[in-house]
Amino acid sequence: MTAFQNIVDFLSLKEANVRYVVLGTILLSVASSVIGCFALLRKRALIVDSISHSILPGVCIGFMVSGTKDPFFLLAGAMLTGWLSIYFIDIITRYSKIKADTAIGLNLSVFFAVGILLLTVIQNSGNPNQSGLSDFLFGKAATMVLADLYVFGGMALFVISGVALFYKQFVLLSFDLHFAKTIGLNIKFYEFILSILTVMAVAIGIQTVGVVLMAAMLITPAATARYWTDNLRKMLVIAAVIGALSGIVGAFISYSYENMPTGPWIVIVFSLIAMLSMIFSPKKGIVAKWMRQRRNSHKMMEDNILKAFYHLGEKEGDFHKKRTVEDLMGLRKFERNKLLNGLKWLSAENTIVHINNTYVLSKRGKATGARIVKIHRLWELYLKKYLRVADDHVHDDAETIEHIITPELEIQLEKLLDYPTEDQHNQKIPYSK
Amino acid sequence: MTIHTENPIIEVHDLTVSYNNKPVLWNVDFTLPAGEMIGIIGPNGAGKSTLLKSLMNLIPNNSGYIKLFNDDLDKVRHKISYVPQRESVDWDFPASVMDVALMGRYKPNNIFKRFTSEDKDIAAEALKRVNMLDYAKRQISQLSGGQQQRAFLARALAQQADLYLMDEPFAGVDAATEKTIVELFMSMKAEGKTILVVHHDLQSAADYFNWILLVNTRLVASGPTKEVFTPEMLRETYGGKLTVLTKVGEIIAETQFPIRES
Repeated sequence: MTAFQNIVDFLSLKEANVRYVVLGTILLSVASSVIGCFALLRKRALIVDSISHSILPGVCIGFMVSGTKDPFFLLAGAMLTGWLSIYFIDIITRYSKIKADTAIGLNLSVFFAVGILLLTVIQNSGNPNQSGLSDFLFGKAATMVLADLYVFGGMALFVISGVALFYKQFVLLSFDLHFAKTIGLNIKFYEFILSILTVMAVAIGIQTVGVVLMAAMLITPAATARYWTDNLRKMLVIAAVIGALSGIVGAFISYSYENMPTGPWIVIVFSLIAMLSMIFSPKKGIVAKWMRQRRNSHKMMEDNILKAFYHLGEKEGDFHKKRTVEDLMGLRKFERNKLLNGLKWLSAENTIVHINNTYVLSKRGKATGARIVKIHRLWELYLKKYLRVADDHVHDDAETIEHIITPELEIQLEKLLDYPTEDQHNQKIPYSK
Repeated sequence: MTIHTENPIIEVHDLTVSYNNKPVLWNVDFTLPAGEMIGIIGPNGAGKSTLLKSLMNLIPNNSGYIKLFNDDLDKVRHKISYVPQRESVDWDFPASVMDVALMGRYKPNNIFKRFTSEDKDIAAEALKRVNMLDYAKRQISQLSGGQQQRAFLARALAQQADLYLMDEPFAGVDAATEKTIVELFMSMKAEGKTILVVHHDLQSAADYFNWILLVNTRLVASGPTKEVFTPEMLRETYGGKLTVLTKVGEIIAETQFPIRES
């Protein structure tokens, strides 16, 4: 069977088993991503990691009690020890001098150590049902059957509806706990619900993702979604979509290759999405930042060239005389390559005209140059008058500020200074007619 | 010096509050009149914010009782609005200014319902009163300190309370915003609201408030500004902590001794 055939088979959901796996994985990913948003906003990411490691001993106990891999028993055990770890962290931070991060670290390792011990005991016990129990470490989505789907999927739906039902309460809790308390909200109750839903979301991941990596399932989609929006409802939806997509890819790989764990693949997929988001997301992404800087330096170069044309024109009383690159470089220390680039952009915008090896300022170019010179001189006067900046210090500041003053601020500056005609060096301030 | 009032809106009786078993407010006792602008004044670490928090039962007290509107807090919560310090929340939270104002419309009995158009009108009106309606859609992390404070005040206004407890509303805001806020408080007072403000600028205190509480781990004075805002009282408030009292507090904290025999 070719890889392509494999994908087609998987995506067509022909096999009942594939349908269970895909549906189960989607439900689980959506549930954990959505509840993870609140863990992230409440700065509880590490607690989630502690929960996920702490459910391992619970799973083992569930197996030891029932003697089978009945999901009901395993989940009951997982929820119990997952919950205990939250409780212990709370108790330790409240009644001892140990700080939260240390308490989380202690808990995580102790619970996980006990879990591994119990797992070893089970593996040495010779119980024939125990085969596959170690899959709970890193997850194996492909082993999901209909009975599992009912239990795991049902719980995932429960978590999702819980978030929908208590959305407002969770928002208040996460944003401003004190305020929530003062309006009479039963904080302890809702915090308890939120914790229970979080433990549930972590516990249902044992089969698909595995205990070790389950925390990432809650945190990474949420953190990634935060890159794309400032709106909490949208953040929940984006996190859910990212979680579900990664879940499907992970499930597909687990389905296609024998002995391939699902969890690490899911984590790799959404970590990739997270990385891409860091680079490409609008506003907050690295590329967006880089583009902004590039735009700024473009604008600075263009402004400076037009200003140089204007200064030359001012000096010689002819604004539209042909200028060479050397003329411009004689006035201001341009880097030749950057200057040539800038001249190219300006020619494209028709603010200057390129004739043979000379350049001429157009009418529009002159107006723009005049505006920059005007703002520069107004700003110097403003600094002198309102900030009492020394004469020899105003120029450098104005060199930058001249590029960023908006038309609104420009009008305000003119009014504030009462339309001065000359700057401090008796140079004329050019107003547009 | 404690001057009491008839029909107080707030009555605090023998209140002692501690953090980590160290008393930060000792045996505080006062009554406050309704419909006034009241300032809680004192040096840093004097327990001003603690006093406000214990009025809202945000921290447990070791002794004493508090009556608001001559009743228990739980019965009159809907008539009270508490504005925490601006720094107490993470302003990077994914919410808009309007979202914050709308939180003022949350009530335990409507928390499962959607906001009505009336709720939205009230929140918009509140934003208008603090000059923030133009910023309604803005993400809160993009706000300046003064704007954040005004968003908090809009949330409080949207609660339509009778008693407002404000923790340092003037901290870290520019002069123009401070003026806007003071004017807002004055107009609220004209509507018959009672406003209790934690404040630490002595210069403006006498202008802003007509009743003042002077606090420094104990109540130094409570009464009309003219009577208690005197050089003598201020010296007592700001003249450092009482050394014996501080020492006793330290011993209690060190030995984890109970603050009250029970």
